[in-house]
Amino acid sequence: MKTVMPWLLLAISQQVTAHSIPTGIGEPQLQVAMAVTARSAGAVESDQYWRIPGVMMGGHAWPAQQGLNADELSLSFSYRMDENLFAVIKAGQQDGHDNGAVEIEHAWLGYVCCGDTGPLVIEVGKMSATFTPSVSEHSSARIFADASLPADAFLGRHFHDQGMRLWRHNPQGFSTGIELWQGHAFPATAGEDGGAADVFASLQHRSGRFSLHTGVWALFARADQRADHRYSEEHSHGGLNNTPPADIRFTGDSLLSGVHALLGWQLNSRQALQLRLEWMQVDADGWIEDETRRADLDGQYQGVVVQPEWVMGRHLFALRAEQLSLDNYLSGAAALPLAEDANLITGHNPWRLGAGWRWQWRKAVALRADLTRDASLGSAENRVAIGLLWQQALTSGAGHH
Amino acid sequence: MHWRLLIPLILPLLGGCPDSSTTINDGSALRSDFDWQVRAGIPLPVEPADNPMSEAKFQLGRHLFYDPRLSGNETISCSSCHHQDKAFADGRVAARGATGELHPRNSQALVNIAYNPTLTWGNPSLRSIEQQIVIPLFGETPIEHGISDANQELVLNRILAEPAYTSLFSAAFPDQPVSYDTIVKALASFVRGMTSFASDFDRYEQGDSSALSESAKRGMTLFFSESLECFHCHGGYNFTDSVQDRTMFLVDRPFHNTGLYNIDGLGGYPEPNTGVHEITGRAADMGRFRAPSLRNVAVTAPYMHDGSVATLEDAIRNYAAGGRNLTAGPNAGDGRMNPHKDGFISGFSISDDEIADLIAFLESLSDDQFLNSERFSNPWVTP
Repeated sequence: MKTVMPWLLLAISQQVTAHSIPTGIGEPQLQVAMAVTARSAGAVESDQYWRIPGVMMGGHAWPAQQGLNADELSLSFSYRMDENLFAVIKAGQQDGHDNGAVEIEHAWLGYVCCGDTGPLVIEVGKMSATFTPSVSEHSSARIFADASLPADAFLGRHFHDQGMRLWRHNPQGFSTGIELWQGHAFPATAGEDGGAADVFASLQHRSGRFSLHTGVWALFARADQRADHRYSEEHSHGGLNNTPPADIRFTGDSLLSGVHALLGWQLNSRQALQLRLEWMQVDADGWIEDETRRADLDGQYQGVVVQPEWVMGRHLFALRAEQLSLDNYLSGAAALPLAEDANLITGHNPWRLGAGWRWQWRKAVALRADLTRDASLGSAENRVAIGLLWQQALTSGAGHH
Repeated sequence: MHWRLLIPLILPLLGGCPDSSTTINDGSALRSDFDWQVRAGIPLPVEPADNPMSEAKFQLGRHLFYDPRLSGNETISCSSCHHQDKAFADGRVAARGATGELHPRNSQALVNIAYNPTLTWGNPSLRSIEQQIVIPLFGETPIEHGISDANQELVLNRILAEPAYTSLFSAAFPDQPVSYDTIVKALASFVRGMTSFASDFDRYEQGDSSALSESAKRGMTLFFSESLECFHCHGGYNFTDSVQDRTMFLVDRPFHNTGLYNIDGLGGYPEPNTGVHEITGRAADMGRFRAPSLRNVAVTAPYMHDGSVATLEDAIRNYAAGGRNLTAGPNAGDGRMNPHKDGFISGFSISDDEIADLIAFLESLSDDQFLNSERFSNPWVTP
């Protein structure tokens, strides 16, 4: 078997999971990540609101912005205290929004039973979900500057919340587990009538030149008067030319499920082909309301991402195609005005096409560029993004699993 | 280049997505047999189950509205205190009834009152137009139309004697005798059908950016700003926070004390105009009145429940001061210090130019079509 070049491994390893279990006992690990991106255009004008017609968005699904922006800046610390206990803390600022505030994204304790990495792991605290890589991936680890369209539309881009995870963890084989959440992450809300839970199973397999990482998942989220976090917190009504979206809130259950896969085929020591796939569906059942009106909502949504990639030396080339299908049924006397205010009227399948390139210039530094044809809002627009990425371990020592 | 075609060509998996769609089932909430003349985006008002709208009732009500024979001494009609050119206000401080008695309150404009969850200035229990109309017809404090037990049959016979009413009543209420019940229902139907959504502001809302002057646009920004707070009580499509339509499942019936008086230092308003307090007797309800719609407000002076504010500029200056300070006269007192004053009447800084802009915006709410429409005019006058 030919030796696989280190940079090839580095490129292929961009299966972007934020989850990790530190392995070196007593060896603190500190890692920094940064992504700076310049875009020729934004997903919407700077004074407009990014709301995909047909779905109630939220969470951290901020629009791509024109100009130079820090898409990610994070510092993470992990520490294995003994054979069983470990802790992870991560502070970060994502997507250049939320008023630029630095957030403690992760702060959790883990207990590993029976071996270095499992098979049984219990984790408690604030952490990213594991059910699909899409919700824990960060800009600095992606090929494309923008997060995937289904993750933005259905999961608010990131999913980190306070909760617990119990799972059977095998980084070279079959993993499965359950996660329970307080509900601070979209599409759930916290509180007595909120909360979320998910189950997941994944498989990592390598056989000769072929590699596979695939998984299935289901997430159940309860929401009580969920607002669009992105645009509802500032109490500003502005002029009619820039009126914030109407404060329409969703109460009800969302059942999401999906499949993800990363298939790899190593052509030779310098080249590999990969195919990244994700499909997810949402069944949102509840009602939408404002201060005086209410209408029942039954939403059936689907999203798919297909991303073929070609790794050649330090370069990675990729195409990405994404599409959403959004089917809404609203009933009640206020169904039409609320559907209009909630931006649920649509007959359009939002889609995006992208061509991307990532160059791993140094071990810790990469450049990337992509061209995106974006029809998430209806009419298609082009934009170009060029980014500088930095991911570096600031301490030496054992790694993660 | 049709980029979308690349999706199924390059990646067949995407071609399997069903088309997006939105299905609305509103249970006929946005349909009516009556032509409400409401523009797109405005929900329809609620129609009472025992008096559904019809054009025949509307036309009968229009005739009755302008008919002075519907008063004890044949001197006044509804239109005596509700003039179309003034958005059906009357331009007076206080209205005068059939016997010359002055009403303690200013005549309200009759604009979009089909959307009012309560009627009159400050009565949370008066919730239908049919209920309200009985008051001016038969009320004794004050006397308005002056119909009483003594003359009600005489008045009804006058109506029966008018030939035009024969066909109007039979069309509006087939197989029903002419009675005060049908008279009230017809009047209510006419008043309920007075809708006004064709102002310059409405045209601007519908995409005509030239419909508002630059001054009005600046005024609009002020109106909807957090510094002036106007929109909190005068927001929404009817420019009032007291609104009801058939899309609502929860109807709020707010009343506000605007710091107009403070005659005793304890928040008192001059009798008998104490607002919701008149009904409930609770001190906290002192001076609380319903915020009227601001549609056509430029033609409905004088303002406030007692007509004590002469102009829009005066009204704005009172709000800017956080209430009205009367330094002399029988009602002297510092309304700014009224303990029952609404929290939004906190005062603001505003320049003369900004006041002019704000007034320009308020003037843009005037609906010339409504003010001049033959549909709402006196049918007894031959053109």
